[in-house]
Amino acid sequence: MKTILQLCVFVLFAVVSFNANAQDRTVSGKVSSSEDGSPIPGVNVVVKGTTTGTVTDIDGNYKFEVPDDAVTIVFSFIGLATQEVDLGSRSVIDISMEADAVQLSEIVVTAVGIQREKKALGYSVENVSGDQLQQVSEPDPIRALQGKVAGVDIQGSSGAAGSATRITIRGNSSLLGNNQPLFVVDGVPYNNNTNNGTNQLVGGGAYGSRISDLDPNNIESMTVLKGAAAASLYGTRAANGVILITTKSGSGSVSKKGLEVGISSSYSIEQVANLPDYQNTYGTGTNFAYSQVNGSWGAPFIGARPYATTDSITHWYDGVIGFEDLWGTNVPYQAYPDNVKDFFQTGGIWDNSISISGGNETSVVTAVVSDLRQDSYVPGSEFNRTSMSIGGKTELVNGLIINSSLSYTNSFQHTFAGGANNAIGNASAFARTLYLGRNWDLHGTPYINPLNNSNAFFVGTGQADNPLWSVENSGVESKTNRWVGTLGLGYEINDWIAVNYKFGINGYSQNQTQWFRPGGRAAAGIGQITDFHTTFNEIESNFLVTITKDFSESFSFRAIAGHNLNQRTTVSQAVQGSGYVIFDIDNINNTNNLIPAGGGFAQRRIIGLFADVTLGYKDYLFLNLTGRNDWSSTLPKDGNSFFYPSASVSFVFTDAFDLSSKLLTYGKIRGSFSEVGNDTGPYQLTPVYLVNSNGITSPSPDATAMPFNGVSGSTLSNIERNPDLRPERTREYELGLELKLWESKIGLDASVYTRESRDQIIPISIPRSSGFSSLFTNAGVVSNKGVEVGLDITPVELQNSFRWNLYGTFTLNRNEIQSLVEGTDELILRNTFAGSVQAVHIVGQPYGLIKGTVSARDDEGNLLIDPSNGQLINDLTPRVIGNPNPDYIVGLTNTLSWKGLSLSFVFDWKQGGDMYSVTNLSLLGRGVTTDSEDREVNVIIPGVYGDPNTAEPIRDENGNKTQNTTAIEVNGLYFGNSFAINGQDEWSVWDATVIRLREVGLSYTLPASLIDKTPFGSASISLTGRNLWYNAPNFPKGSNFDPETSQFGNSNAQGFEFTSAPSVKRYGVNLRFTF
Amino acid sequence: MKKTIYKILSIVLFTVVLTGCKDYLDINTDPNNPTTVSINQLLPSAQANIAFSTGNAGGLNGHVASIMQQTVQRGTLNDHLILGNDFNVLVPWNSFYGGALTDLRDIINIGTADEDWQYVGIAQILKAYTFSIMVDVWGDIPYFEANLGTENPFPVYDEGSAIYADLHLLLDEAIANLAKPSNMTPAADDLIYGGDMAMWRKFAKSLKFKMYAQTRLVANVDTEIGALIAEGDMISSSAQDFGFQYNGSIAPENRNPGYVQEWAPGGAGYYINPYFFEVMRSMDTFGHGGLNFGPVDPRVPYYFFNQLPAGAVDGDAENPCAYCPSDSGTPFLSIYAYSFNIDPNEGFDQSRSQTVIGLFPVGGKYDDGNGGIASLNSALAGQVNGIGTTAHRMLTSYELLYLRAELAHVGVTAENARQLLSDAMDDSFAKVDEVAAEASAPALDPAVLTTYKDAVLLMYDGGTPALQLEIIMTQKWIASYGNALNAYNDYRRTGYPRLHNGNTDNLSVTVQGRSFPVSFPYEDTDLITNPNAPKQRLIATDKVFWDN
Repeated sequence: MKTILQLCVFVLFAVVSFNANAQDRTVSGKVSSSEDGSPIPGVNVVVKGTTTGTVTDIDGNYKFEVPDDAVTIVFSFIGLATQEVDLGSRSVIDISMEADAVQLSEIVVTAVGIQREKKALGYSVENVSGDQLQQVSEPDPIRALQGKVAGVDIQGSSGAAGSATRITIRGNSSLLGNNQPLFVVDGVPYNNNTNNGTNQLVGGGAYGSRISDLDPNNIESMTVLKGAAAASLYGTRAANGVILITTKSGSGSVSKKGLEVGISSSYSIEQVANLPDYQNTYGTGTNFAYSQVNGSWGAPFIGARPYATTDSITHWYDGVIGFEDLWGTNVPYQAYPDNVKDFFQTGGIWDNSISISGGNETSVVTAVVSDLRQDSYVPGSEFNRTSMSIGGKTELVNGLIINSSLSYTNSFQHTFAGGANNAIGNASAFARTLYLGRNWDLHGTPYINPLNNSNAFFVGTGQADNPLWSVENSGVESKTNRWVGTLGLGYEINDWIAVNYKFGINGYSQNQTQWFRPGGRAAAGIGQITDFHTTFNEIESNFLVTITKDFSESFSFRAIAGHNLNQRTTVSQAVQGSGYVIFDIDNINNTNNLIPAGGGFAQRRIIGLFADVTLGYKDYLFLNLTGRNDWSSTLPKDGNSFFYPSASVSFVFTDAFDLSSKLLTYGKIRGSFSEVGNDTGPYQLTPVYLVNSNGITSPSPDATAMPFNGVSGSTLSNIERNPDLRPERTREYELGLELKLWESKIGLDASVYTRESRDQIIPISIPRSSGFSSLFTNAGVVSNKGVEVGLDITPVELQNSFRWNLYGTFTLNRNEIQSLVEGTDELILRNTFAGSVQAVHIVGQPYGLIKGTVSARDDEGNLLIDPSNGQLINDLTPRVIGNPNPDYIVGLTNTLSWKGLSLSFVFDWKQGGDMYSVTNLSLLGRGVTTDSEDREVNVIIPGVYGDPNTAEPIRDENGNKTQNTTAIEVNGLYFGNSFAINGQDEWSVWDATVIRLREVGLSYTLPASLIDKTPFGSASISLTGRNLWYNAPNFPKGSNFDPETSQFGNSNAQGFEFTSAPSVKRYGVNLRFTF
Repeated sequence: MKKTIYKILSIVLFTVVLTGCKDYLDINTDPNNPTTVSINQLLPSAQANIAFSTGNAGGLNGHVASIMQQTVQRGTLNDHLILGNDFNVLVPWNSFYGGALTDLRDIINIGTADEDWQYVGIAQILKAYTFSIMVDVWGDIPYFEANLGTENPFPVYDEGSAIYADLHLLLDEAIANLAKPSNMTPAADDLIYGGDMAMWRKFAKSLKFKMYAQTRLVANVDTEIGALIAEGDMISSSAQDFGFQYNGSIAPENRNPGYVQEWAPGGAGYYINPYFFEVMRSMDTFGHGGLNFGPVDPRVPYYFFNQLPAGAVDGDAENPCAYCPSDSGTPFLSIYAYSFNIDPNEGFDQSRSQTVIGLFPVGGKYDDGNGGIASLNSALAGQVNGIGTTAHRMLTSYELLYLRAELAHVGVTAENARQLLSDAMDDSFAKVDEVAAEASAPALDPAVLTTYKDAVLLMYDGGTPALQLEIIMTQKWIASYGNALNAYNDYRRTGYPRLHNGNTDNLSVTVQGRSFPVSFPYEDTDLITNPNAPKQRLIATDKVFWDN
């Protein structure tokens, strides 16, 4: 068996020429595609049993001399069914070739760019073609994967343009470190950091993750290496799986035509996906009386209730300096049913891309230029991305293959100020937006104080910024330049040894500015600008020697030895200026006081040596062994070397036992064992002092800062260090089954796995009384077990080309914290506000639980009620109140196609997983939705009377408890010490199950017959829709809440939503044509 | 042509081999942060930390001032519910241990090795002060095994009495160290006393005095107290006060943290407790039964800032009010203690109308009766701001005088309690004048002062011994505004000042459900992470060792 590598080179570049013997006659013809009639260049045409033959040219034509005794001509092309045609006496043979139904020899790209036959793989790898990711009205290439890959959990952080996306494969393994997969684009790691200048809790914005620099239009394919075995050659970075992305410009492949120009252009509109169902019966106030407050618990509007009498109220700005003309005036007291809806706008996305590719027998080149402009549904927010890339490949006459690619992306994100609504000094644009008082005339009332441009709002401006003022006068802007360059060399020394070298640089520089103009709630109202500059550069070098040798007919052998160098360098610096001089100049030169705000230099290096050996027996049994040793700069010098092995087996039993039948077309079982390691970040071995820092444990802006009175000060960092860190270890076992049934109408790919990560390098919490908050050391074991299933069914396939295909994915993962450090069974993953919810790990429990305050209960579980007011009593001890990990995830892609028409829709369904939601608690507490509209009743919270001092039930002389009979108003239910605002955290956790129509696409490809007369090679038009419908049934009904949101972006602390922008839906139209 | 290929390959191989050598990986030294610093870098940090962590923003005083009814907070603290993850519990606990005490440990270790004895002495005194405060609030805490890092990450909790005993030894050692020749000597980096060793010595002895007085119920301290008074080497004037003087720098933030927090946009976190206000005004509108001295305390406009102008009526408040101008006949606006979720008017936003913490404690504005929206700057029309530079006072000369008055009155010493009370009041008024001068505010009117003081002393002269003690402690409580930690100790030691009880007043909107907290809860995370930690404290019953 020839190596796959050779085969590809052969097919793609058609550089092999055949010696022609003395011939008697000429045969010619044309090879075209049965699918669309287009010509197929590069098809092998040979006389059966000989080496006499040729390949088709660019127009699919061939012509060659055949010997007299030739009987059969064989036409072959990878991916298409080989055809044998009896020659007879014909001299012209035109054939059409169709796709190979079984595609047994499907090739996938695996770790470090090694190409393998899929059937030889002993682990799960899933491939997604670029078509599925492009032009789906989704600028983020990772969100475009949602619902399409089994074993993968993808969660957008917000509907805000350019915001981060979290992706995990097979669950969370690292307690506190990175859990996201490594992205490798054209052989070079692609940094996916989120650079959040400010804590997303108390400010900051919907920061992006840097994979958003990648242009989906340039993606040729994505391969998800799910398990450790698949990824193990990536060594220290493989622990969370790898996503390999091949770009068009970097792939070195060429279209069937010599020169092809492709143009695609799309426009989508975006709108807020859904808003709560607001009540329009009561305005602001309390206890059915109007007052100028946040909550809509006040008087009913005239007409809404028979007894309503309030028809006008004093203007909100009565007494506010700057609005003297409004003093003493009245405004009508009426509902503004659309005051929230009108805040949002209809946004739009323009996405245009041109790709040009061309080549000849020895060289190919592809260039892609794309431009995306997204205007968000939140006024003022936008995301723009312009990218250019060019890549090519050439084979020199001496056989040296050189490939290279260059790409440049410029991204721009402008997003609104975010953060929780209640943080002191926080200028969130969404502090009140979703729960505006029902009688607030948001758009008919000034939002700028004419006196000095400061914020004007319906309640005290110290409480919240007017959303209209906020989106205009505060925000975060990120400007990112990203560059990727690769250079590859390949050479076949002889027919069994090949060497390849690849060198790549992938980096970005980002300027992020966060500003708050004066007169708002942030920065004590004096205005503040913070500039964050980050430059990241990664250099990757890979040298591979490949030896391919078939020992006999039955045994094949391939061995690869490799050497890898990797260097990552980050340089960052932040500066903060406070006190604006001129109101609307958002440049740091326009501030009064400048202080440094962090930054530094960090560099790490890895040297790796690895080997990969594959043994094949009779093309149905394969054994793959890999080993890699890494030396990391970040570990102690005498312990920086670590080795990890993997072994996998693939067995195609249908071939081995010759079982192939109509019912069972193909069957394979696979199994693997692997171990991967992980190092740590740079400079983690020695405790350091922090200069001009004061040791105060306070996230609050009022903490004293150094220098003080011009005197500088330093403090010892709160992180104690273990100088003898060992590498982390993740061990994984995987079993898989692949079946094709009923002539491949049903395809099943299922995996079960169990993985265990131990010796995690984490800052474990230690008591502060030790003098430190945490110890950076090896600790903890986390296990993940799961099942992932991909099911491909074609229920209907008719002669008239009608086809219905269903692709379903099922993802189930169970994780458990097996152990933490000795002596503790709890580790804080993330704190929020003091006294509020936390994300914690608890031994024996799933990853990252939500912990918070709870109401007191008696030994029978009855709620304790304070007899003085009929409300709940607090329990003194915070407890676990939610588990954010989903039970399972199902994705379902339906594709109906008929001739050039194709209709597809993607559903996804995430079952379970809890979320702490401040939006929901505020909607209830502020009394703005239909959930709290029926309020003219008193309610009694079921429970027994208790003593708030002891949190014990009150017993009478006989020891009996007393049932609560103290009624409270509905207002008190949601605003008192009960269920929403001011209530305990446990009442603000909901089950985040959601089912969603993620994607709908209707496309029409013009038939070849129509196109033939035009200069176009192909043309198609499609309509797409995104997030058109969802249902999260367990949130309060009137909130229409979409749980696809996360306060902390793509960090490990999931299941928290403090105040975020609602999600978005899009409709788009897309034109694509080539010529 | 083959040659070219081999050339290229050999370059690649060469690069690979060359860079493969060990030096390539030897890059793991942090270029951003030092692994050693001079001890004159650590001292200012530790001092700023102690001031913040005992102070009025994130510090202990935030909660203590509410417990001692000088301020009142909307929320569970309104009814004495303190939790181990409250900001004002978590920040001091974590910052003392994780910040100040670790840095002080380093100063003591490095300074001892380098014979920088003055630094060692100062660090020991600051360590003693910090631990004494922590014992007063939390009782039994890690001490002997604390701050050892990986050497002992799980320290045991030591008895408060054992800690106090060791702190006395530590202070004696510190006083000796101050006098030794020192290689390096502190100057401007000593943000408290500017490197004046005599001042540190006086403070060390004052601290010993205070600690002895603190334990008088559980030990006979007459001799020690007597000796310290006889020696006369304690803080004796306001210039010698142990405090942390802030300045006006906005970035870096050098202003009084209480000012930055309470005067920031968004409204103050604390209201002024109407009980405190009424005792100072010699009023009782809601049946609290506090002491009535007769005249209005002249310190009121220095203590509290009314955002509503003089003459304001209830309707001028932005929302329906709980304690309204009509209650006192002044623009004072607040909420009642023990009214959380009971009083329908307690929850309304009053950020532009409520009375806020004023000049004396945190550096807010002197109340001239004109009102204005409390702000950190007066950038906008209608806004007024304070100075923010006011010192956080941790131990003052007048507090020592009040303490001596108490000790004399209960018979520990033979001094004249009445005279000491009179001196203490004069001294505390002088402190108000000092702060007023800093803010260019008018000084206290001597005539009014005299009237007030005479009324107090008249009441003292006619009172029973119990009332006399109550008068001393109540005056001390009023004077200690801004550093209620001392008043909290005093209350637990003497039972005075009497505090407002939500169950016995005449208000229908107050109910006291919880008992007075006789100590603070431990920080929750430390309990979870330390296998040697005791159970969480029951704050209503778990007393500290000197509380009888």
